[in-house]
This record gives sequence, C-alpha cells and structure tokens, in this order.
Amino acid sequence: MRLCALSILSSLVLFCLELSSAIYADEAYQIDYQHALLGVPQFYTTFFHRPSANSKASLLYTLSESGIVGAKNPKDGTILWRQRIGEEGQTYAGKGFLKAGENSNVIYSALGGKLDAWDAVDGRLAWSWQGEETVRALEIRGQGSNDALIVTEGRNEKVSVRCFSSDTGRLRWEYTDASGDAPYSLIAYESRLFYVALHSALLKGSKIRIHKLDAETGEQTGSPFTFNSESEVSSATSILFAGAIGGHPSIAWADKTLKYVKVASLLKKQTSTLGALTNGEPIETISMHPADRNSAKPHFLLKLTGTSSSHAKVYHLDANTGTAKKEYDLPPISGPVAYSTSTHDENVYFVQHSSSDVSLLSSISPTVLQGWKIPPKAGAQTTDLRSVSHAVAEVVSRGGTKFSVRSALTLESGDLEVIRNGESLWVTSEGLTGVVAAAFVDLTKDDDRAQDLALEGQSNFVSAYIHRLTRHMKELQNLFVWMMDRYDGVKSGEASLNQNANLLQDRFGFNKVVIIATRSGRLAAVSTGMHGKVIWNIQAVTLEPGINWDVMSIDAEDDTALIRAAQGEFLRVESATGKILHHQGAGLLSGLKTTIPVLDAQGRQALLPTNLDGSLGDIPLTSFEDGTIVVTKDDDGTIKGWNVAGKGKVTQAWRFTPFPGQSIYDVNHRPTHDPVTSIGKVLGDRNVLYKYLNPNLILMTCTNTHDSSVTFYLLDSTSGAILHSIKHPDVDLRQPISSTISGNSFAYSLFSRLLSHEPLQLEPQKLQGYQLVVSEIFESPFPNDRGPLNSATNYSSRQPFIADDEKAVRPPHVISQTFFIPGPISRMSTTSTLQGITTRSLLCIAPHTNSLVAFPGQMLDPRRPVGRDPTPAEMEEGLFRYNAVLDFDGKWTLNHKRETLGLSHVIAAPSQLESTTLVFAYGDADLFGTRSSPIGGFDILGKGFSKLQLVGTVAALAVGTMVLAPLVRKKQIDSIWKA
Amino acid sequence: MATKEYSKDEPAPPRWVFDLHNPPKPASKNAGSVSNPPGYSETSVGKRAGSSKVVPRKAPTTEETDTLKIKKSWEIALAPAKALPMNAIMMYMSGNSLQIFSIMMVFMLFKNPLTGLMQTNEVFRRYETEGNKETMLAVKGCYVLMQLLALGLGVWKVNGMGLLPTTRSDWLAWEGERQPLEKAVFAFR
Repeated sequence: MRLCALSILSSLVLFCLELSSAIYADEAYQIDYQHALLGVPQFYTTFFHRPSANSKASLLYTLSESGIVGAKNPKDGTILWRQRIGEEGQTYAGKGFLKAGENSNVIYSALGGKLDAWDAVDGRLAWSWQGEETVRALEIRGQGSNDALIVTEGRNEKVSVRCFSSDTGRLRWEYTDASGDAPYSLIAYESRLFYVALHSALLKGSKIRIHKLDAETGEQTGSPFTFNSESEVSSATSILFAGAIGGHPSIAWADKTLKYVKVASLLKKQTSTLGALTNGEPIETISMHPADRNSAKPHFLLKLTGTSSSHAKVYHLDANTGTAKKEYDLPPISGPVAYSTSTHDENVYFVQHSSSDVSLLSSISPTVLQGWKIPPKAGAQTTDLRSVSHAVAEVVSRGGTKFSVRSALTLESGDLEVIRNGESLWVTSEGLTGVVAAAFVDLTKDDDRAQDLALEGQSNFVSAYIHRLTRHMKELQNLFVWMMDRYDGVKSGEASLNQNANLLQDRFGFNKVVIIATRSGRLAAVSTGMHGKVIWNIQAVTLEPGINWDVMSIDAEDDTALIRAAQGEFLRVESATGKILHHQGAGLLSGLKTTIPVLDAQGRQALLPTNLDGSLGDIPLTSFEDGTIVVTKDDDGTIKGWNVAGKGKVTQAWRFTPFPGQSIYDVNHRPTHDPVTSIGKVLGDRNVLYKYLNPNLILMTCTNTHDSSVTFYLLDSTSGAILHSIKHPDVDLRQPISSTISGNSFAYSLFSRLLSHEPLQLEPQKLQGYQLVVSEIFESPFPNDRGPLNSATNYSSRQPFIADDEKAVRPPHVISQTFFIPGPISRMSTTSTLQGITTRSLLCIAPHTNSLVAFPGQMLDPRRPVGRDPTPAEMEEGLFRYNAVLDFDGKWTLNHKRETLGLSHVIAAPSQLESTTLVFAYGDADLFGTRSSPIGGFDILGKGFSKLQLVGTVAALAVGTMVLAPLVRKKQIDSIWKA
Repeated sequence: MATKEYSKDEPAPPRWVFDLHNPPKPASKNAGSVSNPPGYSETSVGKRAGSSKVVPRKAPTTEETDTLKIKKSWEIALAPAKALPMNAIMMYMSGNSLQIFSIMMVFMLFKNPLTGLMQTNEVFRRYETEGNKETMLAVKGCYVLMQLLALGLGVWKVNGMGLLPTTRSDWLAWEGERQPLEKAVFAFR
C-alpha cells in the first residue's frame, strides 16, 4: 500500500516535471521569434542562381561578411540552408569567394585555406579541401565541366593552381609558380585557363602577368605575357575587374588618380584606354559591372562615384579586335545608387537602383526600358535604411517591351531587401549580425496599470480590494470602446495581431525592448511583444574597418539606455526611438578603460572612471555611501576592490591575485535583479536549511595551463575573502568553460576527467566527459542553524563577526553535485522572475546542437539522494534519485524545431507574471527570443482554456435554469396536492 | 380542549369543520395504526390505572438518591474517556492528509470537548445537591480532565497533520534576510 502510494507520488512528481518545462505545440512559433541571419551580403559573392539544371526558380546565394554561406528563397526570404565557413566573431569583409557551376547543383565557397563544395539545393557538403595556404581566387572550369580551380598562396610566396574534380573533390592537376608574383585571379576560357598575377616592376608598381594553362592538364601553354600597367597599378586594389566580359576574358584597371580606366583583352592582348570619365567633380570610386554570362555580348558599365553624385558610362568591347569604346552616358544621380547586370540570351541589361526608383536599361541604348517607383519604407528614419549599397538583379523578358525585374538590394545598414517590379517583397536585418551586447529595457507606457498593481500589492487586503473594484468599474466604462477596437482589429486581419500583442504587453509585461549592439557599431531595438520586430536600427558609431565595437554593458534608465563601451565611450539613446541623446567618444582620457555608474549618497548616478591598470580614476565631486566598494578587473589578471566612501578618497580595500600559473578566465557576479523569496529551504521534516545569501558574491574561474586545472573561487567582493574554492584537475582548457551564479546557487560546466568514488567498485574508474556541476550555498550544514550571525538584521563583511566561542568565523556550507552531460555548454545563465518564487531554470547554450536548453531546477538540485531511493520526506521536497548522466531532453530545448546558428549569449528578464521569464539569446549570427515558464504557467490561462466555452456553459446553465424553474415549481405543487 | 357544542336549530356543520375542531389524537407508539374507539382518552386511562392499581413505592432516602446521583454523575464524567479509544482509532485510520473527512473529524474532536467543558456545570446541575457538593467537585474535576484528554487527542492529531506551528519552517516567513552594510559595484562584464 505504502509502496504503491510512493510510486504514485514519484510518478506524479515526474509528471509535474515533464509538464513544467516543455514547450507546448500551440505555443511554438507563437511565443518565440527568431531572426535567422546570414550576415551582410558581399557584392562579389551574392547572386541569383538556379540550384539545379531542371529547376525553374532561382535562389539567392550569398557568402556574407560573417563568413556564412547560404541560400535564401527570394519569394519570402526564408533561409533554405546556411553553413558557417568562417570563424565565429570574425568579419570577412572583402574576403572569400562563392561560385556556382552552370547547369549543375554544385556551389563552391572558398575562405582562407578552405575550399568547400556544397549541394546548391539542400546545402549538404559534397567535399572539402583544406590547405595550409590561402585561397586567392576561385574559378569554375566551364565547358560542361564544373571542376573547381583555385589559386593558393603559401607562406614562402609559393603559388599553386589546383584543379579539383567537381563530384569527388579529387585533385586533377596542380601547377606551381615559384616566380614570386602575387596571384590575383583565374579566368577560364574554353579549354584554356588564364592565371593572372601581379609582377612587381623594377622601380614601382606592378605589371599584370598572365600565364596560359591548359585547363585539362594544367600544363603551361606558351610563355607568360604581361601588360605594362606599372604606372597605374600599385596594388591589387587598383584592378577593377579580372574575368570574362560576356565570355571574353579581360582585365580592367584604373590609374591612381581615377582619371582613366584601361581595359585589356586577354585573347587579343589589346589594351584600350577609357578616358574622359569625370563629370565635372572628382571621382572617388569606380566600379565595373560587366555582362556575367558567356552567352551574352561583351558589354559593361562603369559606375563613377563622385563626392555628391554618381554617374555611369556603358561600353562595348569588340570581341574581334579586343578594343572597348563608349556606347552611351547615363545622367548623374545624387545620392547612393547601385547598378547590377543581368543577361538574357545575348542581351545585356543594366538595372539602376536608387533609394526612390528602379530603372531598367539595355546595354545598347540609353532609353529606360521600364521604371518603377519604390514606395518609401516604413520605419526607415535613418538614411542608411534607405540607401542601397549594392544590388543584384534578375531580368525576365515578358515578351515585347515588358520586363519583370527582381533585385536583391543590400542597404547601407546591411539589411537585405528583395524587390520585384518596385514592390518590396521582404527585408531581413542582416546588419544585426555579430551582436556583442544586449539588454532588456522596459517600455514605460502611459498606461499606469503596473502602478495600480503595485499599489494593490502593497496596501492591505480590504483597501486593495476596494481599489481593484473601483479600477474594474472604471475599466467597464471603456469596455465598449475596447470591444469596438477589437472588432475593427478582427475585420482588418493583420492589424489585430499587433493590437493583440500591444494589449498583452501592458497586462503581463511580455512586451519589452531588447537593445542590441553589434560589433560593427550598430544599435537596434527588438520588440519582444511584436515577434521580435526591429523597432529601430541605427549606426551609433562609425568605426575604422577591421575594428570591432567593444561594448561593455547596456543599462536601462527610465526611458533611456546607457551604452558603455571601451575607453570611456558611452552614449545614451532613447529606448523607444533610438534617438541619440548624448555621445561621448572613446579615448578622451588616455588609459581609461571604461566608466561605471555608481549611486552616490543622494541616490543619483555618478560615472566613475576605471583605468586599464585596474585603478579608479579621479572621483567626481560627489560623496558615496559608506561601504561602497568598486570591484575592478585589470588586464594583468588581478581583481581589486576599491573603497570609495567619503569624498574624493579612493583606497584599495583588497586585491585578489591568482596563484602563479593561474590566470583569471571568467568572473561572474549575481544578477542585478535576483530576488530570493525564502531565506531558507524547508526540508521534508519541516526543518529549515538556511541559504547563504550575499548579494556581493563573485564566482571566479581561474585556469592553469601548466597542469590543465581549473579552480573556481567564491569570493565576498566587499572583503575579498575566499569563501569556497574547488579545483578540477585534468580539464581540457580548449573546451568551453562556463559558469553562472544566482541566488544561493552556482553552476559551471567543463570537460574533465575525474575518478569515480563508487564504493562497490574495487578500482576507481576514470570518467571523462562534459560535466555540469551544480552547487548550493547554505549558512550551515545543520538544519535550523542560521550560522554565527544568527538573527542579526545586518552584517558587515569587512568587520567579520567574531563570536566568543569556537564557532567564530565559519565559511558557508556548499553542497555540490556533478552531472555528465552529452555536450559542451558555451554560456549559461538563469531564468529571472519578478519575485523569485519560481524555481530557476538553468539556461544553457549548447553549441554542439546549436540550441538553447533550459534545465529545470528540480533536476539540478544538489541534494538529490545518491545511490538510494529518496525517503518520503525527501520525496515531499521533490527530490528524486540522483543519476549521474543528465541527457539534454528534447523538451528542454527552447528553440524546439527552429534551427539557430551562432548563439553565444543568453539573457533573461522578468515579466509581470511570476511564472514567466523573457529569454533572449544572441551571438554571431542569429537573434532568438522566447518566453520560458520554468515550473509551468501557473498564473496564466493556457491556450487550451476557452473563454467562449466558459461563457457558453454559464449562459446555457442560466437558460436551462430559467426554462426548468417553472416546470419544477409546478411539479412540486402538484406533488403536495397529490399527497 | 373544548369541543364546540352545536345547537339543534343550527344546521349541522360540514364534516371538515368538525375534523378541524377535533383533530385526531396522535397515535400511540405501541398502538400501531389502530385508532382508539370514540370517547376513549388514553391519558385519563393511564392516570386512573397508575393511581388506583400500583401500590406506591417507598420514597428513597436522601442518602440513597445522593449515592445514585453520584453514581450517575461518575458515569457522565467518565463517558468522554470511554469514547477516547474509538476516537483514537478513527483518527489513526483517517490519515494525516488534509481531506474533507479528516478535517471534519478533527473539527468534531475539538468541538465536543470544548462544548463539554463549557457546559460542565449544566451537565452536573441535576445531580448536585447540598450533601454531595464535595464529591461532586471531584467528579467535575475528573470530567474536565477527561475532556482535556479528548482535547489532547485532537491536538495530537493536528500535530500529526502538521498544522501546529512547532517547527522552524513555520516561523521562516517572519525571519528577514540579513542586509549587508557594504555594497559592491562591478566594473567588469
């Protein structure tokens, strides 16, 4: 009987567990949102292409600046496949190659020393080649064969041209050039292959040297020939183009002053000079847009950009003589403009994209074949959301003079937009890749419901009830208006969704704004209530190429957000609009690392400067409250605590230097919003284990490369006292080590080997794998013991309490449990709720599955009984038997079926509902947000709850009662009379 | 009870008026459904039989009645104790979970002794005489003790159900978090 009850109870507990942390099917895709991104598309590696010979529609392929290659559906912008070929956290602007074979389903990408062949339809890797060298050019052989040709440059200027078979990746041939020329390009022409290199001239500049190879065997045919370009070409950037113009191998380069352009035909070895480029104002950049298909006529367009406007000239290359001559001029256009080429049979079309219209031109006449106006974009306040950076277009002839043009525009903001005949199909915020910092910001609404609720929560029961009643009465007056709104919303379809989201936001606090900062200097706000819609997106700072924006933190302050970056840079933006209110540039003071906001004695915020060497700078003329300690981390790996009490006085309170050989890997402190409802843990026998709650705890991860060990220190950051330390030997330091601390518990994950301590085993077993260690900190190992301080209401860590007896200063009691997990955890965090009643889940980013996992808190209780079944008292606490292996349950995956890429950070913020946490994960590529209810949505009605059914039931009951009441009354009277 | 006389010149009233004024006598318990013949009155018969046929018993002396009363009052005083084993078994069987039955039983367990204690004097008033006052005090004391025993059983039960705030966890909500005097501000990510 008892056993039966126990088993029922335990199964109930398990059932509750399963109930709690799963994502319901009807909530998936409803409560979560994702920006699946590829990164900013690059001009030379973005194109429309038919994935296979027999497919009708083409897809949009790109290799982005983030080093991600992928295919998008041009109709709706969904990612069909994507693969990361670059390193995470790197920008590959101007690097990498992407080429598609004609009439085949192979796509080649090359980046660094790697060449990959992908299936164009589904993105599967066909084969891959990795070399020590760097790939300098990629070409496809053509002529019915789709073999990949690459030029690589090794460390000792050894240049190799290699040919790989398209189906297996077998190396067909290799040609080596040890002349020391810098490789530039490969041009395949029929059975020939031109290898273009820059040969340094004697005095200055470079000559363009061309080696002719047999594409079948790789043998050199004939001696190399050169173009005397040394007076113009000083570096590879002077070359505008090297490739086939309508199937005609050519090279074009400009002189240093951009006065003229030279075009050389490789077949005829003929050079023609194209002069008279300028349009009155000096030209700043020249770009060339040639006909890209072999079947097309050898026509090309030169885009000449001046300081205020840009114009274009169209040239024709004579295939017989190899000379180029101007055909016509295009009028100058002020503002950014982008050209793209599209071919149809032998016709060449140029599409001109400006911020307001799209015009289609033929290569033979300057008349506009067809033009479309682009309607102004909604929400594009800043110019970089409107102006086109570069574009690719696809022109389809609809017979006669009718054309259909589809173009993919890359905007200055990095956003990718596809427009068809002037109509915008979709926009994706590709510019929001590479997010380095993000923070939840509350939207302050004019609706003062939150204030009302807070009032009701604080005042006593009766007055709260009266307040609520009056509030509801007031709301009842607005019911009609609200219902009309709803009716309008339902009628207009799409709008109702947004209204609904807006409605939810006020009530449950689900609608917040996540402000994100990217490493390219952009700031954007993503609304959590409107399915992750980007509310605003600005270029906050302009950075030098190759420099990443080092954002330290984003803090919300009322209606504004304060973004602090390295070297003391900070800017304040309006969180609702993105308007920059204040900006202080970097490097105003030398040696300044950052500034931190500290509350002074008057409750105002003062910004304290911290220096690179870990010291505090001059304190502004404010006095801080007694006992304010600023903890800094300096570059040589020490942690220091600074006492800033008093006016203008800074004294070092403590310093933590790791042991020789150790270095600080990571420092974590408790989150700013980390409430704990109960100061103790009630045990099954009604005793209390008191939690050790100290808001100033920091968890430090120190690694030692000499003996591959990791030590975790738990520090009181006001006194610098080490409260606890754990050392893990035999740790693989190349694997991610992540840690988090919240409330009275901390957790970390690493890859390590440890000895098992099973008592039954004679020989200790070495267990190797990814571990997750969960610890809880208590005042004392004994129940009902509040430690030496007992019931004191406050305490000072700097003047520790010393009791008379032996239990003087006692470190807190730490209980830990280790779990084996199937993969690494690159970053962890905990859920955060309004009052901290809900058990916290551990949010983890599992990079091996590219997923966001929320471990339920019950699973990770370090007090789970080991090696035995739980006692009834333990079962009452919800503890169940410890199992060393903790698998990632599919139900814990917050991103469920969604495929995410490059998530590296996760943040959480409370909603107005105690059960629910807003979660946002970001990283190098994707943005993903969802809501999580760690122990189930106990304070909100689920989707399964039908209000209509409830009202219907009540109404039916009322009607039934009204109908039946006279009948019953009659029957009762009759029965009295009959008796 | 006067039966209304009707004069001869008046027309005879309808039957229901007669029935109204002469409701049938409630049937005696042993008589069953057989109604008494008209003109027969049970009470008058009883009285007559008692007074005429039975020889009057000798009236008991005061001592005798006192002993009898004491005996009777002892019985009353010990009655709660006799119910204790049954109550204890019932309480044990009902379990320590909070259910409607166990809650009701515990409520009864508290209600009965408490009302009993309140009515201590009323219960024994009938048996209290001038002569047995001292003994009655002991009886009352015993009665109170027994009721307290029953109450104790209730308390034991409530404790078993975990409703008594006797453990540390019951007072946890009144204990506050210790506030640190220092506050750390972190200047790292």
